[in-house]
Amino acid sequence: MTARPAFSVLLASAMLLVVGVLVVVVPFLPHYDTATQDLAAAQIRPFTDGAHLLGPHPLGTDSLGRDVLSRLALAGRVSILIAVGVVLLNLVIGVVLGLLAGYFGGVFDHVIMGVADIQLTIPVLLLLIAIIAAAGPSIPVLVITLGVTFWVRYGRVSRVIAASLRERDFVSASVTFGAADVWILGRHLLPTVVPQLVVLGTFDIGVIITAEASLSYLGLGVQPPTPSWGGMIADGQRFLQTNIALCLVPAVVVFLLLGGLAILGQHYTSGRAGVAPTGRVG
Amino acid sequence: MVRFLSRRVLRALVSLLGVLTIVFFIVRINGSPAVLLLGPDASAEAVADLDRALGLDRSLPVQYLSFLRSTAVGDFGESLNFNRPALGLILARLPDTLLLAVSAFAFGLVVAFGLAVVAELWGNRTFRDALLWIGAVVQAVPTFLLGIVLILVFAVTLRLLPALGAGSATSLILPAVTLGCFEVALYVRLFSVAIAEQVGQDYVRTAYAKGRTKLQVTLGHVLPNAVLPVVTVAGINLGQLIGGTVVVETVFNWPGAGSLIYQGVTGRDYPIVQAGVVVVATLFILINLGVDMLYAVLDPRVRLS
Amino acid sequence: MNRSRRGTVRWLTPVLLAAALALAACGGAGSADAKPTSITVAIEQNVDTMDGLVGNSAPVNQIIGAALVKVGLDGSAAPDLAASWTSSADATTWTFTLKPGLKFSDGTPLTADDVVFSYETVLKNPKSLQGVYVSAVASVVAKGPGTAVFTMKSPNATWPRVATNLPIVPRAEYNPTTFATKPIGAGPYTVVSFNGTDTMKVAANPHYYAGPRAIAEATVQYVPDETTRLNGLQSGQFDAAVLTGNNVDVAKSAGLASESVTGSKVIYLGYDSGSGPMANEKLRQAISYGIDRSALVKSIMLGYGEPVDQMISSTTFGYDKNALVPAQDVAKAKQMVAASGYAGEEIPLRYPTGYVPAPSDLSQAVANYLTQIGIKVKLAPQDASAFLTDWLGKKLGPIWLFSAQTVTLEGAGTFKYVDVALNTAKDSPLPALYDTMLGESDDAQRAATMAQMNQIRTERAYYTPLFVQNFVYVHSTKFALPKPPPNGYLNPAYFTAS
Repeated sequence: MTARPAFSVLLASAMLLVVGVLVVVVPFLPHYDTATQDLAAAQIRPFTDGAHLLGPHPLGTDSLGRDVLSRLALAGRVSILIAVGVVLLNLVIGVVLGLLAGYFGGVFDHVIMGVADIQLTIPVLLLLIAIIAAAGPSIPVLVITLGVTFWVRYGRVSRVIAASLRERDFVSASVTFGAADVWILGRHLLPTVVPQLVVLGTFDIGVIITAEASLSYLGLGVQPPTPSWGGMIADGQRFLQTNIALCLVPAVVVFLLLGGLAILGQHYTSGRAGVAPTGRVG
Repeated sequence: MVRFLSRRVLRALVSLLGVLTIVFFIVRINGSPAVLLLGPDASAEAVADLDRALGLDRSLPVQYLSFLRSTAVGDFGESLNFNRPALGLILARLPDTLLLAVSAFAFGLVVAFGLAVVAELWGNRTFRDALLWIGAVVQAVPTFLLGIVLILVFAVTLRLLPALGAGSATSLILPAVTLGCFEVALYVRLFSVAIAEQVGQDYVRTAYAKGRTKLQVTLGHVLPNAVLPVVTVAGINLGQLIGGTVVVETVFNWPGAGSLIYQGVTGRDYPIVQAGVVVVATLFILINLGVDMLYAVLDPRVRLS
Repeated sequence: MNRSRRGTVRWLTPVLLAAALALAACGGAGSADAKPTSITVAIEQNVDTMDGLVGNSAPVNQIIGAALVKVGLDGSAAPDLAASWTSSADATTWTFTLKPGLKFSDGTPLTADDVVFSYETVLKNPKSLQGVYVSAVASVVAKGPGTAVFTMKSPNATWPRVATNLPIVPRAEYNPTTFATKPIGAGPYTVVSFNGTDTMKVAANPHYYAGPRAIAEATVQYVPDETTRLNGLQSGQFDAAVLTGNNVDVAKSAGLASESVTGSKVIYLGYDSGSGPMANEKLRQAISYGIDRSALVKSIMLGYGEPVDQMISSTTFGYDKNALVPAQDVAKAKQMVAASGYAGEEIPLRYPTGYVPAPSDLSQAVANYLTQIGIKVKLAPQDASAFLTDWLGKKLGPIWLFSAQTVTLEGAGTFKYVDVALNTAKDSPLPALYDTMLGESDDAQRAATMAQMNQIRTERAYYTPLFVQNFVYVHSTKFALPKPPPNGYLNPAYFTAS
């Protein structure tokens, strides 16, 4: 391997490290405070509070005078938690249904793939808007609605793998030995299916984070006072022409995370045939 | 072929019924159109009266059955806001949404194809890395932010293009590019994978063995074969694109069906939402069917079953 | 490869620059000194049906229609089609005398018979959204071509202002199907075309009773998103729009003109004073001292608003000049909370994601004030429809943040829905006083009763009014808006070329 990909990987790792430090370390800093408002000290620009970087508000304050750095860290925890939660939920639903459909075939296959068809027919964003507007926006509602929306791809991939593996020797051998179906699924199919899907899931994290941002723009994202990166970008958008930092700072952090993941993902999957990534929602 | 088609049509109808049912109940979880129509200074009695006049005081199952009956004959009812047939309103605004989605799709496909070809023929590692990084940036920027920034740069500051609406040919540029940017990033990835798959095939090696240049092999053999799998995936994506124009339509005040459906959701204009979602879902099904058939026509190895 | 790319950039830059210059030059040449005769306004209210007997989009109805009475530019009830009106002493019979020689936009005469027809059509149509405003009418008859007499179901001293809502249409030509897109009315403008969902083009009505308006043509477009309205103004695609807070400042620095007027929308905290933690009157009273209203106006509204301590604004009939806005006193508020017996339980604060300005910032700032004085709150947002449904159903819980607006600038309108319709206070004398007030045809007497009602509201702290949102009309300097209307409606009729 030449020096260049190593550089790419290094850079991507550095990007992810910055996000990691933000999310993990910042909450332990002395000035960490996500809640205290000071309307008189609102909209302080980054790097202008105090003489040095370690002033109380190194990244400035938001429209209510709260510390942007602290909120950025908390928002990161919230956004990452939502994204990971959503991907996991999709993964579990997709793998379980996909394996069932692929392994048992027949009626299972018809019903599950029928549901998948309906799911694929629904315009995702419109459905999300309808559900969240009706159920009221909250983190559990977001995770569950997004979490049952994108399982179809995982389901299809695991179904194909399950169907093909069923034909192969080691599964047939198990059947001869009379092992229960569950055992076969768990013991033989899961370990093969899951790693492939985790790679797929990494790509989806970006889709989820930007989808949450779009929903925030429509007023349906994570609700105050809890911050999310998408929510901060959507909030900051109102001040784009007067204080661009409110929008730019969270946007840059999102780029660091998604860019880092994309570069690493590309690096580790290059050569292998990629699975089609999810299109953007909104 | 006939059997294939009839089975697909049957499945499509079942899907549509499912979609309709889901949408019917979701928009009715809470809220009421009457309170929004009448505004905050209406009394509870006035709201109840309007509910009765609109037939919304009946029980949900009864409403659902009568809804199914009228939908079966293509009657989606009158919009509660506009007092005109909902389907007609959706269809009147559909062309603008289609124009936007198809333009973004075409923009994405053409630019991605161009970039992939350049990368394959002349691309060195720097170029590919640059593509990757640009893709990463585009992926991380939310659609609405990209749209607003483009407006501020090209419409407000430079005054080169209209900021809003669908009045002229130039007004399509900003919204289509906003929507299409992400498609570029997506399709470049698809093209790269597809091209990489083709390059390893025997027929490519045979072509080189016959003394063809890289340009000839790429243009004559690799690309035509790489386009097909990309179009398949991209085609399915076109469906989502049609249903995903809401944000761009809001930012650019684009008079499409997406923003009308969104207004329908927030205003609890049930007939608009139901008609809108069914229209988008039908388009979606048709596109998928079209892609499958295209696939079968172009690739004789695929049998329709 | 590198060389070729750099080469591309080298020729691309001058080409782009030249194109930009050429376009800029074209734009400059087009806007010569000629006075503009056409205006494009972006409004935030629906443009959904042109039929004023069905739809209740007031801005639309006031552009293409005329009612008996209008809200004057000074906030008074001013003559529109009616020249004058009188009532019986108990305010149950109202007689309106039409201006002489009135005509519809097609040139046909407008008579009292058309007034009768318009009101009766609404009364007969249960689906008409105008029914809310007309339901107080028991009967309406024409006494000759120039006089219409209304008999109300019960005394109604506010009727002239309520009558600003219904535009009059011609009996001979009214057709619900065609009027939905191409109506005939007597307003300052007449519809040229309507695209069916959000944009109407209008031309000055040649037969308008006050003479054709200064701006001959106008496009009125529904643009719900405020950033979009701002962008449209800045790019020159819109000539006028109503904006709030930060966006006004951006527009001003971009060289746009603006007029700010005290509006009619009061942002307030409402309470369930009948049950739950907020049935505790002392706790409610504490909140009024805990909030810095001026700071809210300054930071959330960026100064475009006025702190208030009553449910109506200074432009609205019934405003009590003597009511004082209490200064923030956190120590006093804390003491009051401590003395109230509040157990410290978490109280949900409901708010709608529409109807109030900057809902997310505002709700968080308010919640912060409550936290400061020792009240534990949890923010609970809802979309407008769900919120309104719960509001009407009295299911909002202990505290809510909402707005009270009376576009007719009639305080009784606000009182009706915050006191009577909602009936928050079971032992309150307010509903009875409201009925008394409705029967008082003498304005001074009525105002006194309303001041009394306001005093009771303040003493018992049924609500905590926060501030009045100003309406800021932002427009291109090509136009002038000599008298900005106090109701927040953009009407091309108010503009002149500058």
